[in-house]
Amino acid sequence: MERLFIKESKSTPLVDFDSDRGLLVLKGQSYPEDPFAFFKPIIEWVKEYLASNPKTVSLEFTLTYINTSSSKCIMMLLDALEESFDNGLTIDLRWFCNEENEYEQECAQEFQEDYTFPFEIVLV
Amino acid sequence: MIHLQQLKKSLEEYRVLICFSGQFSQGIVEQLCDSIKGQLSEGLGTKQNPMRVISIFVEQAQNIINYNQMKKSHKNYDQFLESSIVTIGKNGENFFVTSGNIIDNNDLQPLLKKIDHLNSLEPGDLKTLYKEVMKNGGLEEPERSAGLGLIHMARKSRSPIEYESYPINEELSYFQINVNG
Repeated sequence: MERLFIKESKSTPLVDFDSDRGLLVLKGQSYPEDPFAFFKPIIEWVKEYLASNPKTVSLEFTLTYINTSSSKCIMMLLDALEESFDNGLTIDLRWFCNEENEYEQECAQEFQEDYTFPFEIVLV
Repeated sequence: MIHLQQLKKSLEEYRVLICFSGQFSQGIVEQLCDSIKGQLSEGLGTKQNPMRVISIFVEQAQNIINYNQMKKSHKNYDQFLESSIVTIGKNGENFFVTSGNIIDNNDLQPLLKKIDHLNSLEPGDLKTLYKEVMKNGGLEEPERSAGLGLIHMARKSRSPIEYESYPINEELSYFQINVNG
């Protein structure tokens, strides 16, 4: 599959999903006017990728701020991964947070509670 | 001529640090976010996390943008657009975000009811509700994230969400909301 790369903007994160390496990176802030329009092609890419039966998938997220509707989109993305995990795919997610920023950590923890695949919060 | 010093004094009396009045856009929200982050992290005598204030500001501003978007075919659409104001201020150690906009009277009571309901919930119940609403609906839903912003504000607010509404005429009211960050 073709690599999905979207440059970071003021209100949207860097997206670097590399199917060859099995590595999906999200980095930055997310509060665009229409998060659904921004995330729709990203979620579609992930679903198509997961349907191609990858061996392992690693995710690295560094999300300093996500508004509520972006959170919903990220949840939909993680739901797709959870489904593949239930079907035997090896997944690990590392969510990087600033060790001094409780707000960021709380946000990551709330996602962590809802998933059963390996989900590590890494304080940096 | 407009007496700007007086206007500025009034803002200071209400302890307003940042204020934007007029037609909002996503670009303005982004600029203000940068400005708030800069000002808050430069230490305005507080240990508060700027992200908490920014998140409340973004949800309020985007609620207004989205609401106005829904009123696109309303005969008073221009009035809706021009009515928006957002202020961020500091009361002692704590920040507040107060915003106002024109609202259709048909939408007012349901909104006030929603806020009263959120104010009556305990933190645990708010969290459960937040996660429930997150799970409802897909990407194609028309009201895709309706209400999530308010629940977020209720969760992050230090005290119940405050609101006030002032009737303009039979159809419209002016609505304002305050969240103590």
